[in-house]
Amino acid sequence: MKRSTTAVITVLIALAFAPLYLGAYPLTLLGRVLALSIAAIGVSVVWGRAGILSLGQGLFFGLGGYALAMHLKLVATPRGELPDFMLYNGVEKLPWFWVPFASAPFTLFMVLLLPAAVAGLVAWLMFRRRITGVYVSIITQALLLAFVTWLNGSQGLTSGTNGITDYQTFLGINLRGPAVAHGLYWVTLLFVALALGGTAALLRTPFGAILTAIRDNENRTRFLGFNPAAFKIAAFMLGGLLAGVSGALYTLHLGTISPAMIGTAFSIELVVWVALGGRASLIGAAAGLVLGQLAKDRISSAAPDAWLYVMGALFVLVVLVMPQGVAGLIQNRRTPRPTPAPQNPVTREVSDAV
Amino acid sequence: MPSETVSIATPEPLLDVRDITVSFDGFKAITNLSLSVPKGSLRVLIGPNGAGKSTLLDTIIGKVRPDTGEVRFAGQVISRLPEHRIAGLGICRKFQAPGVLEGLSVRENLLLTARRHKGVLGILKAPTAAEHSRADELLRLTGLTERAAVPAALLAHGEKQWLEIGMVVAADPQLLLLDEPTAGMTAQETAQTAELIHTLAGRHTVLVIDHDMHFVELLNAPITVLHQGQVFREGDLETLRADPDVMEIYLGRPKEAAHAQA
Ligand SMILES: Nc1ncnc2c1ncn2[C@@H]1O[C@H](COP(=O)(O)OP(=O)(O)OP(=O)(O)O)[C@@H](O)[C@H]1O
Ligand SMILES: [Mg+2]
Repeated sequence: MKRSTTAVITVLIALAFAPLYLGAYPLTLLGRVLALSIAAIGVSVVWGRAGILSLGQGLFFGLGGYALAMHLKLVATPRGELPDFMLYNGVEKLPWFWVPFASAPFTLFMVLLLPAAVAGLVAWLMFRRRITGVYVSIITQALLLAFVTWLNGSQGLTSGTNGITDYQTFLGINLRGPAVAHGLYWVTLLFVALALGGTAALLRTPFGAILTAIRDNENRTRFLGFNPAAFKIAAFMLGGLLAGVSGALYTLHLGTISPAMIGTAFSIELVVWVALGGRASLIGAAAGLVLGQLAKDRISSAAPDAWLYVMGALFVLVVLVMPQGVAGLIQNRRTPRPTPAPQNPVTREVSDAV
Repeated sequence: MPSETVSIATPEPLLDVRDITVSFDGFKAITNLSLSVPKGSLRVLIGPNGAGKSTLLDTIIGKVRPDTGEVRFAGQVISRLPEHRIAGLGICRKFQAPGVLEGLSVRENLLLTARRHKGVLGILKAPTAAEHSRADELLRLTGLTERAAVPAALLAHGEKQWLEIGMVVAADPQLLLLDEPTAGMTAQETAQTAELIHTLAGRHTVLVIDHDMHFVELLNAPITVLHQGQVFREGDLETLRADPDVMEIYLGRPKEAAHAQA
């Protein structure tokens, strides 16, 4: 087994025993950030491997989170009644898209399907037209903004800025029960392990190689007979799926989901942590997010005003000094790369470069 | 018996470029050009800088689209298909500047291009034993066995050229388009490349662009001369060398021609 794999498994085992050695608050915090790390794994695939910088992952995160929260809210509402916020807003009938979320299996299915399908649609619209680079970042950000604006404006349908809150029971389990904290933590850790293992296995197939090829030289892969759009759509869907799962787990941990939790700040912070950890490495991305969020908790409780400056400084540091993040630094140290062979200047190399 | 006489003597060419015109912002890089290449043949394309040689290949692979005219491959019009579909039909090009996949190792470059199924689901399967042995064979063919694990970005220029030739061959395409394959190679490497192209020519149809007259001589194949986006002459090297017009447009200085003959 590779040394890095052994290290990851060791860390995961150590994390599995965390309930034994961590107090209630640190454990809750750790569970939350582990849930978020699944979205970071998705960013690593989409950005680190496929080269697509999405600044709108909050959209898919939110779809997963809201899908689950709608179900939880319906469960918490007495039979035949409407969720409280609908009553306050004068809604008289359960909106059609709420109805099927009364079913737990449907909801779980939607937590997976909805973010992946929306990501697939967005990706199809963008990559079919060969939109790349900064335009992708702008479009994804704009779609997220549109979603958040719609959530905020649709009080009666989504509870608006307050978000969906006040629910306790999922699959008959009281989420606020004393024993549940550990259970939820372990379930989260299990999902993190599945996401890491599954994604790593996927990227070890030639699918991973073709993503790298597309990131480095999209046109060349096209003339080798691959359709880059198809692979980018697949990668984007995987990123959306992971963000959705992350959002659903996060909703369970926090007992609420609101537009403020999924907006621009969230989506950009996600990208910053992934960049810091190392976007090309799944572990780097996940670890970057976990450690970054833990640091944020510390710093923002000690000196709330300092936090934004710390974030900004970190981002500048990554961009200027270590574009491959901490994981990149570690890898360079382990396998020093020889400098590239000198290249002969070839006439019109630039104009012919594909 | 059909009433019409079907000519069996002249089979349909594998590549048939019919009267294409390609322009960039009003500038015509190719004007009413027709060219056909029979299946299994080796053809050399020469012409001065800016003659439109690379643009012709760009048009064949779908990188640029002709304003008028069409490109046919094995009887099918391909000039409106998406690029990956054209490649999928069995057309592979080596670019003038090496276009290896820099983030992947030499072996991965070959394995990826050797794959039969290039769709999203097909790619998930691990490379087959056949694909692995094909990669080994290509590594030997291109002399890169020792360098198999090296990231392609770290290869020397000549090695990149070889790798790209290997990649182009890996997919086992019917038509190979080689744009200046010997640029940056030593005389010995050039001779090896000529030899390699001869071994390929039986199995594939090959269209080679090059400026190196020594290399062209080694290829010993029919030559098409392009000039200002049009076919200027066709013939063998001897005839073209004896042609003062060709000397003038292509070689410019007759002295150099004399040198090339030595
Ligand atoms: N994408 C492009 N946009 C504008 N002009 C172009 C483009 N590609 C080629 N040209 C022009 O078309 C003409 C033909 O170029 P092309 O690259 O096909 O020549 P070539 O015969 O391959 O030359 P060389 O031997 O230098 O490689 C040149 O004048 C070139 O400047
Ligand atoms: Mg050229």
